[in-house]
Amino acid sequence: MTNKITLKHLFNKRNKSPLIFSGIILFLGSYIFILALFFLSFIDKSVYIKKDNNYFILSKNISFLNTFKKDLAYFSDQDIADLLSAPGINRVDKIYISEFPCRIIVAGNINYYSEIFLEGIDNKFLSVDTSSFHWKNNAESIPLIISKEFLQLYNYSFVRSNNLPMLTESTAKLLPLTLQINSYEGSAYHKAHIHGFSDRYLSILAPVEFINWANNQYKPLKISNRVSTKMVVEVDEEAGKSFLNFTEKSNYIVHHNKSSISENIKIANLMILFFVILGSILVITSQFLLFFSNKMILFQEKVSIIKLTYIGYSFKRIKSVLFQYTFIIVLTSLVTAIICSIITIYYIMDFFAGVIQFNFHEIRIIAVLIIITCFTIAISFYSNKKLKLINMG
Amino acid sequence: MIISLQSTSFLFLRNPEKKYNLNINSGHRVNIYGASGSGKSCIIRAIVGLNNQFNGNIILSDKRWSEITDEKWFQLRKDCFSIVFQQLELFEEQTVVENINLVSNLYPNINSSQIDSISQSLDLKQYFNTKVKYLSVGEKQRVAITRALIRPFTWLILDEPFSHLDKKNIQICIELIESNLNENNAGLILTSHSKNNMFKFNTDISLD
Repeated sequence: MTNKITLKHLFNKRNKSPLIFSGIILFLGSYIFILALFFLSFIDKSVYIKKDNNYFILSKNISFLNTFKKDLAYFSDQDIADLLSAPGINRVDKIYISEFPCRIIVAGNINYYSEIFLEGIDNKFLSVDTSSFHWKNNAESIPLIISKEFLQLYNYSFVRSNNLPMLTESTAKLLPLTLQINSYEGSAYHKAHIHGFSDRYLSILAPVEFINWANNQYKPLKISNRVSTKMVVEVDEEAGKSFLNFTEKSNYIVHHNKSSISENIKIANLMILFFVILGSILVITSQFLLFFSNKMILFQEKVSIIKLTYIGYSFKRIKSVLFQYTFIIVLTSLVTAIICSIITIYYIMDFFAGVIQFNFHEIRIIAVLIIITCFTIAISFYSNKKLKLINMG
Repeated sequence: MIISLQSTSFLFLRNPEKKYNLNINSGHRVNIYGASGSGKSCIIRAIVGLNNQFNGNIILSDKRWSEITDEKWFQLRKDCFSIVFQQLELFEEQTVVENINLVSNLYPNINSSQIDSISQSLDLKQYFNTKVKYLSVGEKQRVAITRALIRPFTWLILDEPFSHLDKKNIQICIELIESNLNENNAGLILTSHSKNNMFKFNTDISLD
């Protein structure tokens, strides 16, 4: 007969409950931790990129007078000269705005279109790779730069209500786009594609060459009449305060270069971090519970354990039986948590049409699972070793 | 293994100042006898590492009692000392066969036919699946003796083992014990109320 008799004696019904309870806490903690980690990996990390404080977009403060005289909103040559001479400003340039009605249409399975306007900013003010961000009249496709905020707005706010698939930056770049430009001569269609994503500007950007050409083509005005209502400025890092004083004095509006979507993502991240911490606390608590359950068993079965030592059983051998039971509970809880969380994760991925790529994150989660398992078993082994010998005197 | 008592006095005996000097060689047989409460069990428990209420030295094979670690005591009780306690120390909630198997689990080479033979001789087979708590004291003593004899030992320690047995069972036990002592080439320490010659003792120690 095997050691079953010893187990049966030590672990009567009365003693099993705390161990099972510890196992449940461990299961819950591991399940929450793994799921929270999965969502933490999924959330866009760009919100933690250092805020780009050197580039600002200025426009003139709109007042009642603009209702009668639109020109007051435009930056004159003198305004531009004043900007260049202002403290802390390194570079200034106009933002070129499309002056024609424009619609972006996404071809293929995604049935999506939107009325938009385009802006053009000199490449030296852009944060993306601009080596191929140019346009010539015979170009096959117009490169566009979309803000990251726009992509997040689409993914988190637009997709569910319109039954559309979610997009990553890489899949969005593959989308075939069409720009429909309406003029008094009719509609013109141009192929377009997403060149990159910016966390600096909110507008949809096209090469300055295209904006100027399209403005001429679809709303011809004398170039001298082309003025800008928005300016982009590059400011010295240290000159922040003096720059803001200047803009206040000049009655300019400084546009924020991130929308509140980032703030929402930050809040979501914090909530998920809360669940990561909660899961960790539950896992650690379960270890304490297991340790104290084993201590309680030793206390409750003190007489039996003493009798076992009389007939030749060592305390080490008795503890090893306890550890076997603990090990089974820990392993069962962890494996169940892992299986349940993997099923949940795959269900979530399937729910979002499997468009999201998780290759890198899957490896990270698998590595974390292995670390959690080894850590938990090591802690159980260590706490079992710390169980103290009963006074035999 | 030689068991030596050197100027050893036991604190809870009737005469706590009395010192004992004794050398018990391997294979020897010692009878410790005395009235009830004279301290026979105290001495037994001290020898097997379960009682530290004594002055002087107890030496087991050149190792002082105080130098022997807990793990070493467990080892000694597993490999050397086979003990029948006066209180028997059986597991009341387990059956007879489970009590016996708790010992046989520790020794993979125990012959199951030997277990059968001893339990047959002591008429215990019919109680194999009975919980110990339902047995009489005499039946419990026979279980404790069976448990002590089925395993290998160099010292058999018996603390008033026959107090509740009838003459017939005592005789059976004596024969079985004698046979096992010779088989193991082991020594014997037996406590009783009075001096006796059940096992041709080499040494008699009176506690009165």
